[in-house]
Amino acid sequence: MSTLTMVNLQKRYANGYEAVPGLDLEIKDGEFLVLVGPSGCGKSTVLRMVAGLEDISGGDLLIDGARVNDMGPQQRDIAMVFQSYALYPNMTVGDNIAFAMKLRKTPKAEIAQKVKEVAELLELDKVLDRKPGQLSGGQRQRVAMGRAIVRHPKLFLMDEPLSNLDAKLRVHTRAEIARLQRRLGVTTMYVTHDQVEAMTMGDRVAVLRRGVLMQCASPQELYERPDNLFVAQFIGSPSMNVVRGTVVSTDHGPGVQIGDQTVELGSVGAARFPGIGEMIGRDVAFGVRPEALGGDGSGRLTMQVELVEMLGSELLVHGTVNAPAVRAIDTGVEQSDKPTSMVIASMDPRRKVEVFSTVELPVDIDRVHLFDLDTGLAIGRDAAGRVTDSSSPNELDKG
Amino acid sequence: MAILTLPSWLMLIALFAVPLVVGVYLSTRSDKIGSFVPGRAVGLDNYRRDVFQPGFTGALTVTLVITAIGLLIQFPIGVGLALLLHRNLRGSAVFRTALLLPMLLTPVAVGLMWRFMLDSDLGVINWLLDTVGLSRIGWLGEKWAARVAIALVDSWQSIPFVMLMTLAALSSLPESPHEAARVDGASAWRVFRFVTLPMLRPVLYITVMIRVVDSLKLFDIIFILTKGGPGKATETMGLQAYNVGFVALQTGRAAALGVAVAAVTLPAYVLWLRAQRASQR
Repeated sequence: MSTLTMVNLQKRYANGYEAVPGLDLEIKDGEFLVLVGPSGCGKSTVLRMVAGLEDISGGDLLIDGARVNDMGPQQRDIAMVFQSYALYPNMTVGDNIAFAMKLRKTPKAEIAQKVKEVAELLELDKVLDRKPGQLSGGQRQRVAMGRAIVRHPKLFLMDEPLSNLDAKLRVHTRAEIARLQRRLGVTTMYVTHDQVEAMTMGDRVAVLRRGVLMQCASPQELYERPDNLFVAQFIGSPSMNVVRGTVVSTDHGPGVQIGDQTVELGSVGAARFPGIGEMIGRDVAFGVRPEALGGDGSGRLTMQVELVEMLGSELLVHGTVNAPAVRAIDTGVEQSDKPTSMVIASMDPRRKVEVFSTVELPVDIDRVHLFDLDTGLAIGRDAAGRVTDSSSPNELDKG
Repeated sequence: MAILTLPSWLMLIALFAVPLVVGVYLSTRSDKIGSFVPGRAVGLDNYRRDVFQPGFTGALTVTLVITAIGLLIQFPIGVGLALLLHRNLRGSAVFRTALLLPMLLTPVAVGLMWRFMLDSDLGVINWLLDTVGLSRIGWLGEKWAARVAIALVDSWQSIPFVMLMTLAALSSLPESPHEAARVDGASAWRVFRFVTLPMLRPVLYITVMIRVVDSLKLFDIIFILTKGGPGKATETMGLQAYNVGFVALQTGRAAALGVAVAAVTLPAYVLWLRAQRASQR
């Protein structure tokens, strides 16, 4: 049982490249924190710094309040599951699991007992005498897990442990890992680029971009109240629809003009975005998730249907609206040159929608998001996620 | 398509099968070079007279002793250097090139160079021993010193090979099991002992076999350094066959010894092939 604290944690390479400019993050005792972000965002680097496999260039790393920057991996009492599993090919499954205990000169009887318990827990008892080369991908993954859980470490570190499994096994195993972590209660840091994994497994999810923490919150909070455009578009599949719009005043309160149509935000919008009345005439990024389109809602958005995808549980309707798309990029926010953009609505599968028809979709105003076009920061929320007046948002990438 | 391999088969037959068959045939005859008496079939007499005799078993023992000393020198140093170079420290590239140089020299040149260096009166080795206050050694004139000297010279030329093989193997090893072992709590030595070394084992096994086969055939360095002396202290199987065949000019007996050398070397070849198969699995 432990806590992990990163205070302005930095990683700079010899060639001057700054992978992590300064990260502040705390993982509570027994918490399952998922570090997620696109490839190259520095998440594995952070994990390796915590493991002691990568030197720390600056800042402090604390385990249970004690600074461990200068300690080797051997001294940190952590267990790690690698992306490639990193099993010892010359050892049997049993020896792989027992290796750390043998190094600690644990009595043989105790080792045998613990290996047996872990093998039964992970259903490895029938393959204990096999070498890793004789195991399936799923079995290897479980051996890697067994090696980590057999000695109750202060921290579990997991570096994309499901990425080598097929889709079906991945779904099954991620549930197993989450269940196991909750049962053992060991503080866990889990790295993945898969936002579905992040959302389903973590108590909290930290979203990283270019080594900068974009937001750290519960999965639901991240999904419903993203702090910025990057998080809004990274989390969720299909991704949030974001187009350029202009804040206007209508007979029924504030609205957002999108091309030649206006989505009225009304009193719900006025409450959701305090201070929006002072933003009349300002261009913003208007964001709405597919499931907030085409269901219930007081707003209206008309689009030209281009494609209909029947997924069984939902109907994905792809259509165009007359407004340029907006997306978060590495350097900030980018607006498309094209005057139209594609929008996806998730609708009731029983509904009939014709391709090339024009449909008017209800918009759930309570689930509309507005972002600053320059900084990408969510309008109406401060850095702590509180509702605020957003007439002067902070810089997104000040870190 | 099989016909396309015919040239290779013909070459193999001409270069290996024919000499082998002729060698076995000669080993059953009493031919002598320069003798006025024509050779005749003597059956297994040559084997009885030379192979199953103390002379041959003595040469076999000498060969095995020199091989064993050589392996004990070559492997710790070769593997150690490979581990050092694998860390890519500053100057590794220059060091690596310098270490490969002995491998590029011909054994005769190496033998001659070391004969001067090992000379008991004028050699630089004894001068160095003198300088540090140790007593001089009659490197090429004493039984065990000569055997060690031969193993040393052979090792000097073979260590780069062991180093290269190990370095290539190290480069192909995955990094993650090493990192996993460190996270599991292993010290640098234990990472090497329990993770690196077992993963290197197939390649080291093949390297040992290659070196054993090479050592069993060792001839040129010994010929230049000691010619098998003092007495027969460094007379290996190959040198014995040479002495019988090209000094005593008794081709029949030399052929019998040659066949015996091949028979002794054969198990090493078999082990080598098995090691190769094991490493491919």
